[in-house]
Amino acid sequence: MTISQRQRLMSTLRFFLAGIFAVLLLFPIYWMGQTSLLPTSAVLSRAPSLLPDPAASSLSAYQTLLATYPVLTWFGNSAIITAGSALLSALCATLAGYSLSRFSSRTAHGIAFVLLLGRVLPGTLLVLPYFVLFRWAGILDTHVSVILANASMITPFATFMMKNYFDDVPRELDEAAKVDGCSPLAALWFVVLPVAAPGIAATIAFAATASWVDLLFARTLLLTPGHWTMPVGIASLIGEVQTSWNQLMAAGVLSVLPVFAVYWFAQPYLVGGMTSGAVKG
Amino acid sequence: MAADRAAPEGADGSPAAAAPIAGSRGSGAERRLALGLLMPALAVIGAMLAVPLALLAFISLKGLKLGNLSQILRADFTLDNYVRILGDPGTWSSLWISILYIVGSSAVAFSLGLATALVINEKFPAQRLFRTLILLPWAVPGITATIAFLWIMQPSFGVLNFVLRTTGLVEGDVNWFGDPSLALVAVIFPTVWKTYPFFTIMLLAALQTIPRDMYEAASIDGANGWRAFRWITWPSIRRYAVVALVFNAMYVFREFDFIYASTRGGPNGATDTIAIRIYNVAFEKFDLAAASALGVLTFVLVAVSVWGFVRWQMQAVQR
Repeated sequence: MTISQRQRLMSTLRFFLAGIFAVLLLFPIYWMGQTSLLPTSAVLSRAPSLLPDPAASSLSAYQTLLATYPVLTWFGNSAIITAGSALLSALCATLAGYSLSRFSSRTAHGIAFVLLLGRVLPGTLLVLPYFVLFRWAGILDTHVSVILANASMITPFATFMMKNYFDDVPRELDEAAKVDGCSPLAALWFVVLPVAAPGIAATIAFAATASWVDLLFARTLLLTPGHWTMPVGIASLIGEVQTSWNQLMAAGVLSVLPVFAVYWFAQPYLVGGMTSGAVKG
Repeated sequence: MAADRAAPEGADGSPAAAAPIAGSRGSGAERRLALGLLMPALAVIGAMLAVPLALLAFISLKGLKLGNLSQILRADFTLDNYVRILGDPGTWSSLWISILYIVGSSAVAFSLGLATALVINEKFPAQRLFRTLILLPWAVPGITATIAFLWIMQPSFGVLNFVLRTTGLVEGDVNWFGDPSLALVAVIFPTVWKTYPFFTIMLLAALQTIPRDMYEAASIDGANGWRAFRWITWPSIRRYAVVALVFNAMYVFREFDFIYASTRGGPNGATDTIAIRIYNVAFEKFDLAAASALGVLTFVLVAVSVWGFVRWQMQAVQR
């Protein structure tokens, strides 16, 4: 076999393998979407059709779901909690990341340990004292309680992400601003932050995704069904709509739409942030 | 700028040489600013990590199963909860299930992630699109991935059993989540689906640090395929692989969504990991004290592991 034949064979093989991986990757999402479009009568089939049938597809599962359950309320609660958690943790992470990047290299290792520890503790371990503390403080069953819990989980990793972004911003920039008479805070606000804006956007995208997907804190800290978030609502549907799989899948599709939208725009930055946070941090 | 950043420890690694520099740089104002900027993050983490952990330790030493804060504070101190937890065979079986769950899901996710990374590291049609899509599962909420797999693996009408029946691999319907001997395998499915892209991304980043000409040189020496992987690829990515495995193990150890939403630790405790057990003891059995004791023991286990990992990482960086 000549080298070019061999290369062509390898390229074809690779394309074929990538196809298998792509199916593996996308099938659960595809199947969820496909089932959500089925009419109820077609869901429970011993021989499901792998390809969608456009003629038989309908949005009836979505209509029934929205009419029967307060899905829009859950969606709105999720949006409020996500916005609060993302902004709070991105704010803390930006300031702390700048501080770690610029000033303290000696204490950084100690702080890194504490931050990492906070990140790997099981949430189920922390939600227990949260429950007791929040009940005592009178904020159990409020959005604030979930925002605080999410922010505490997200801030450590977000801080690492921001530190790595600030490490890439040349220090000469801060120094030049200071020479020009800026105070250190003004230098951060007017000079460094605009340069680090893509990093901040990526951190907000990361934080928003991480809080949108939270089930544990919302499930435990929100008691009134009217306060529930999308994941808690979906979890409550599992037992209830025992056979209405098309409605359950419709709820699943609704829950991924916003994260996919964020993901589509922020994906290049997220990949950089995730690998740098893990490899360098 | 590199010298500036390294200043407190000395560019040559000797603290003594750098000490006068650090002292003379008017560090008072800078240090106040550095601390001030850290404050919000430290406040959030302190209030939401240090205080709760202290409270957890406190509850674990109290002889009161359930109560509000003032009742807990008034109760007597006791080691009874630890005796109960350590003497309960369920604790040890949970630890074992956690280990099986971590090892099982990591092994599959790592292999799949590595295979994907090796394939998409080379040029092929639609490569860019694939790289964009690869992290998609990471953005899917755990609960959503779980319901998708609950449906795919549903015994009577699920598409997985349909495919297995059609291809003749199984005779009847496999009850994935309901059979105690299969439930752990079943929850590993969504876990792997959601975690393997992380390995792909990490290992892809590692693969891209390997210079092309190393393979060309090896190819001239007749080393291709497996031998090239064994002697060039693997040594270059091994360190990244270990870091990725440790991070993934930590993620899987604290995993809640997949198991809670599918089996809640059952059937018959088959998927009762430590993380799930803490939750069930606290919020199903309402035994806050025992759950806290288990939580404190878990905290010690995690803290020792993280400390070891950070030390190992720092030594590896210095080498």
